[in-house]
Amino acid sequence: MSPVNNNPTDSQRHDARYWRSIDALVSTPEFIERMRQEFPDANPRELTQLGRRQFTKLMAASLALAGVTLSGCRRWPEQQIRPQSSTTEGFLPGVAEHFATQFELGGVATGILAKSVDGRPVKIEGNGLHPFSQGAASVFAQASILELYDPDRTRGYTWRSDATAGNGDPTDSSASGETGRVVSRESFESVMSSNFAALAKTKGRGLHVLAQSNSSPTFAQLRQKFQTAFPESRWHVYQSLDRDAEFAGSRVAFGKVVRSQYQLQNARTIVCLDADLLGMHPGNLRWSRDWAAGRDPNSGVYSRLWIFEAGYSVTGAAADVRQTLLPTAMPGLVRAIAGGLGLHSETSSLESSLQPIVDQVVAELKSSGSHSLLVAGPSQTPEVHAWVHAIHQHLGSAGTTVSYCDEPQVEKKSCVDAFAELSGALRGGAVDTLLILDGNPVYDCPADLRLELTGSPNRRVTSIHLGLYENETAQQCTWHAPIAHFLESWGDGRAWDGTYGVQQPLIHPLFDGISAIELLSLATGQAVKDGLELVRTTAREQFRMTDDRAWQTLLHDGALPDSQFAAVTTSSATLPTIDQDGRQAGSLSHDGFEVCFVGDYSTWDGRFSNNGWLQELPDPLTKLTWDNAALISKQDADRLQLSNGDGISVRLGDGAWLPEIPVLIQPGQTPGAISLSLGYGRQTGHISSGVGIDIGVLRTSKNRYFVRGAAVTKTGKWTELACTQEHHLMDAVGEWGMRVRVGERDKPGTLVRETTLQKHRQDPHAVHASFHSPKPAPMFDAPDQFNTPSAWGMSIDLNKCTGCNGCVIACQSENNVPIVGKVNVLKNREMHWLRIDRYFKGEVDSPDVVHVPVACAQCESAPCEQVCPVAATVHDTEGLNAMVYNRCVGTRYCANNCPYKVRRFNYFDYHASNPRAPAQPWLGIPDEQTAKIVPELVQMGFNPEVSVRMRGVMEKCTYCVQRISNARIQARNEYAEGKRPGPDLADGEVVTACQQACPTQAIQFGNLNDANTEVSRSHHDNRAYAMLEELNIKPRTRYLARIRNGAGGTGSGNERSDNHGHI
Amino acid sequence: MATFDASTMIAAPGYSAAQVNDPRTRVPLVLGDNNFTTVTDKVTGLALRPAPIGWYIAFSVALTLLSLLLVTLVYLLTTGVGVWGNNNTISWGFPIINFVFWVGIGHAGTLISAILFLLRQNWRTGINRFAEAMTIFAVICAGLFPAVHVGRIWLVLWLAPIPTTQAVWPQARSPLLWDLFAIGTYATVSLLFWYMGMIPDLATLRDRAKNRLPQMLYGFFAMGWTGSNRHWLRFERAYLLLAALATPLVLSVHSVVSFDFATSLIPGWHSTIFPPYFVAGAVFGGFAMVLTLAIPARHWFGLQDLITHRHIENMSKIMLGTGLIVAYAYSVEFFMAWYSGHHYEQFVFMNRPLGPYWWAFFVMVFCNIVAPQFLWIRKVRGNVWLVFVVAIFVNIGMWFERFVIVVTSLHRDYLPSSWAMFQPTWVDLGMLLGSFGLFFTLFLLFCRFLPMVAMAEVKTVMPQAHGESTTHRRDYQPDPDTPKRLRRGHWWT
Repeated sequence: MSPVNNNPTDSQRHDARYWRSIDALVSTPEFIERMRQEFPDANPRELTQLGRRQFTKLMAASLALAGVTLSGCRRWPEQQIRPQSSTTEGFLPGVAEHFATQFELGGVATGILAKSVDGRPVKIEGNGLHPFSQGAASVFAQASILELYDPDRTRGYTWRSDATAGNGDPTDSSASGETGRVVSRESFESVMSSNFAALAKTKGRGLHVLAQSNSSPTFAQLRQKFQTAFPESRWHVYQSLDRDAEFAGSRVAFGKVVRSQYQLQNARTIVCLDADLLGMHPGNLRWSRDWAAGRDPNSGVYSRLWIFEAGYSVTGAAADVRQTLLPTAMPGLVRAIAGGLGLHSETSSLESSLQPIVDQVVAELKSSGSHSLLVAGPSQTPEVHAWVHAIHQHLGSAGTTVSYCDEPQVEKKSCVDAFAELSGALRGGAVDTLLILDGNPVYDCPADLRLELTGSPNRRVTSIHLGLYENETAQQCTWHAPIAHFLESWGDGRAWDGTYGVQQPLIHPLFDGISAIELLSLATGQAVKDGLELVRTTAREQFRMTDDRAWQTLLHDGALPDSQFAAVTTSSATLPTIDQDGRQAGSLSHDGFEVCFVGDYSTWDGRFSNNGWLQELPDPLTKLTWDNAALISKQDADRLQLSNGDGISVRLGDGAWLPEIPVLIQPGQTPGAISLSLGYGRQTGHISSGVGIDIGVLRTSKNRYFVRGAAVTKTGKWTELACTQEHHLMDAVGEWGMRVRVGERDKPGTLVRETTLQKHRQDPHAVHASFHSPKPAPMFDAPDQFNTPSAWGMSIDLNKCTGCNGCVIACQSENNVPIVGKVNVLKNREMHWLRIDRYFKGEVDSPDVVHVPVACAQCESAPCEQVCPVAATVHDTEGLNAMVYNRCVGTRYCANNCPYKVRRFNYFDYHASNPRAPAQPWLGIPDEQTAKIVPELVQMGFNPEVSVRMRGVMEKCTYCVQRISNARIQARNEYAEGKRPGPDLADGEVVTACQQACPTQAIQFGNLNDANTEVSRSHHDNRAYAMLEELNIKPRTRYLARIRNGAGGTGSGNERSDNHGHI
Repeated sequence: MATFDASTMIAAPGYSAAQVNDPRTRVPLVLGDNNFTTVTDKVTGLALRPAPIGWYIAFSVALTLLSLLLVTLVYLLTTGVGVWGNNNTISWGFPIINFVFWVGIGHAGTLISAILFLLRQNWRTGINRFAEAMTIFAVICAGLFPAVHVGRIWLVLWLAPIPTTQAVWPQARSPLLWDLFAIGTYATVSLLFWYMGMIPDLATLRDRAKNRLPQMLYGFFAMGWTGSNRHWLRFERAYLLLAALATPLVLSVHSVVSFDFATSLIPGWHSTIFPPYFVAGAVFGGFAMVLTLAIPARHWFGLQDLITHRHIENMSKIMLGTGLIVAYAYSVEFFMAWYSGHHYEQFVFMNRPLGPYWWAFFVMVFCNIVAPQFLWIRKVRGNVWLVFVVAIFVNIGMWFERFVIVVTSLHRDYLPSSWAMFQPTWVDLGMLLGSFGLFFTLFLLFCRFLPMVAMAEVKTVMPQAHGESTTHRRDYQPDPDTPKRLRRGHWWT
């Protein structure tokens, strides 16, 4: 209320200097009277004077309008409008904003962009300004948006009396017998402050902390402060997928632990030794990008990727030469390679069948010289890692394909030792207070080490668990505090190469969570408790972010340029002593199976297992969803008379026993090796509990990644496994049909084109073989070219696609694609708009793999459009095959007539259904189901730019039409403002979600009208082909054939011998 | 001769087998000691006297199945079309199979009533009424499935060209829209044809009804029919016109239904042979269903004199003939797949007999091709119950034919990554059974309350209509099924 009232009063009116109208100035009594009426022309007596006939006419007309057209009686979902009286800076309602932040996994941060609409983060994308990840995003980072809005997240600070009757009752220690009492954050903080203050007096004796690897400088600094404040406390770092052997190998070679930085674009020969460089490696996004950069078939240099591995990995699928090998045979193989290169003169103990491929590798490494790169996986022994370092040094690769920096993650003790120490301390009663900073050690600890949180009867342990979920560990702890999600809290971290970046929150903690750094600062009794201040202090002190502008720039870019770890020069590598024991062991490998424990492409080590998107994400190789299985070779399966889904039990020599796990026959699996993936068989979580089998019981502290001598027996139980491809075993006719379509090894098929580099260089059209489709004669002139003002098109380079699934999750997140649950995956009703078809070629023991991402190809002559009776799918002027969800009645004819089968039908209201249970009847108005059943929390994660489809509606890819529309609006506005010469979109202004996420930039999208766009160039590449072109449907998506660079140039031959690496 | 010899039975003494079908000496179409009164008595008796207990048993079974249909429909509506086994690859499953199956059934009725009428095939009079009724009810069952198979059943009216506020009209290139018009027209004309042909008989029922309510209802629907010459003149002219109108529809409807498949680009569907093949298949399946209904009905309702063995035999011959067309179509499909040199097409036709649905293919082949061949044998045609068995086989086979077309073509189309199998759910099976419930409920109601045989038409083909004597008919054609008691009054008794 302004203190001075400037409104003219009646008395002032005639003297007013300002007036609104002549009438206002004149203000006759008639005018005032007229102003008073709401409907000036309405005659109130008209109604009462209505005759019967007139009345009936009017009523009939209104009824007709309301009822007969069926539009008046419709009840639309209720909506609420909230005023935004004071807005935040840069905020426009409904306009998406992007914030740079970071995603931390396994001790490595990845720069990401989080898209926020109206204050809600809705999508994770890669940060193009990040020097390391360069705009790509992993499935885990992208799926974390679903984690943020997971209804299972812990919603309060819980104190549990039954877990441990330790001290730390927030209110009254006499009040017992109550479980899971929820207290406020304030009470939690006050209890923690007093607890830790008391502990500080005893220098922290009996205080243990269990943390995970973490790249955050702030965290590291607080850890130091913590250890200063509590000098007698112990700090343990444990993570399930540890890199202990890698560190140990580096110690052997160089006497210190270094981290390898690869330059794959410089490498001509890449040899992966059980290393999933393009898949599970923390730096995989960058390695994928660089690997793809070194494989342009039109340039002179083309790298060759060799891999020796037990189970099929993403890297194995991308490899030019893949050799199956038992994990225990790896040291022998590396020794043989090293021997071949002249590093040592020990006689090779390698199995003779492997000698030819070793000779080939050696010859090639010699010829590539410093352009060689070897990578050993974290699962391999220190010896293998040490040999790799030695070979690099021998070949002079350091500086060309690999460089080193100090490893920041290294601890005094290995993960297993640290955990063993904690476990021993707990058993020995030396622990009073245990602070668990995130993680789920009760679930993922080594099988022989238990985390006895209940303590001994006479000594009580106060355990404090900080985590997103009330998981297995939280349930055993005295305290469980919700951790603030990374999208809700401040933090920082360093990428694999050391690039420093800041994690900034996009939303207030939904459940009042506390971040790990805030809790540590609280525990150490620091004055600064706010995450932002903690992070800023680190930035100021360690990265000289003194002025505000630099800080703002850092926040904007998400990463500090040139903040990589300093490269270190290494001393000359010490050759590892040849482990005679290992060689002996290798010769015994025929006794029983070797079991490999691998991180999972969907759940990592189990931390993502409550994420529905990831559970339903088909494994890149097995295409398995909602389960893990024992991957077994065809040869072994035949021997044990196993078929897919048959249960086996696995017993190890030390007595560890996995009673039941279904098998899945995996082509290319090493005979004698069984791969088991981590992260399943969880006991908590609505999504995760009971999905798959917990294989942790076999994984002891000594056998972290593989173990020999497993006895496998068939149990007789059968589990149905939900694979999105090959729902049933193929028969002879089906194989005949597939062979023509997918092609023989190294030869193109009708659908999947490929050839070898040598053949490609001889004949650029070799990829197409005889499959050039005849130019179809059109029956009539096309009514439209669908090219005004742009002609959208896409190209997918099969030579670059690794099948990493990044695009699949990007699409799911961008387009509000629901998950359907195992029941419906089994019925072949998965909803992914973009799927990655995986085909094996060649022999079942050592097949080639090809990945083909398939989404709607936006056919110009779309078969789906012709058959829709209600015109719900139609073409726009730019060639998009648009889907009008509101018009769709669901005849599904379009899906039948789609030769690519990319249309997805909502058989149920999947968003409103429990993915773990069959759909339930809904008695309300059908299209209100989503709005009424889906929790508001989950609704927050929907992308508001894309309709959430109800049941009975067909859906499919539309080349991210919402992104095209956004870019067009932006361009038109800029044009109107005179900022650009025309309203047309330039190349790269529209980036589809899949394109954005792709680490290898295999997907290109843009305007085909312009011959200079990336996509136009791709479309005219000599490798380009349109799948099913012969149907005359004129698809707008074209594929670029894969070029394999098999050894010897022929791409087939002795490198794919049937041997499997027994030494 | 102790054993049954059909040739001697059919050719009456003094007549050679060739003479039986000689128009001058052709045996009458109505057998037994019947005159106009007995025909009227027989037919109206079913409608006006209390129903036999058997009718109630049959009706309760039909009602049970109908209620299964209703239960599954409610479940479908409230939960979503995912209650069926359909999936991303096989987007059409049982509902469309059932739809095509029922539409096919509906063909025989109009063929009998329109085409045979125009071709002066007077033997049609005995069976045309309930064949037409069967058509109407089959079309009702057929119409149900496309309506409920859509994802948003409550918006199915968008397929109809009605003005709505959206100002969007249906998409005229879609065969589903053509279906709507084809079936809509067919259902309308068939209903009109059936109802119009029934008016004189409804008037008879009105006149014979004893109670007020039936009198009023039959009277209402008889539309004041008095049987005057003027009425008959106009009736017959209108009947002829409607028959002419209905004749092209017999060919058009299933042709249009086949366009659902033929205009698509799915191998196994995309085929120019589909329209004639579907029409032949529909007539084949339709006659099988007429036989399936007629054989028990004439037995239970004592209509052997009106629906004689000759009717059964004629229908068997039509079934055999159309079955041969169907067999030819099957083989031509294989030939064309080979001849096209088109891998995808060839694959589909290899996959049918050798792929995972080989059993469905061979059920189809056995029921539709092998089983009807027995009808070449006069002995088989001479035994109505053997004909009945063949008809049942054909019914099953025709359902499987649609299963083979819909499911095996879709389950392995172009991209092997999307290949899948189809697993029907209890709802799928429940709705298939339930549709039979709907069909039989309507059919039993028809048997009970409406004239099952076209009395007025039958009378026109009786000898009495041509001034012949009712006694001592030497031209009697003994029907092998005619019970002894009905053989009374003939020259040999």
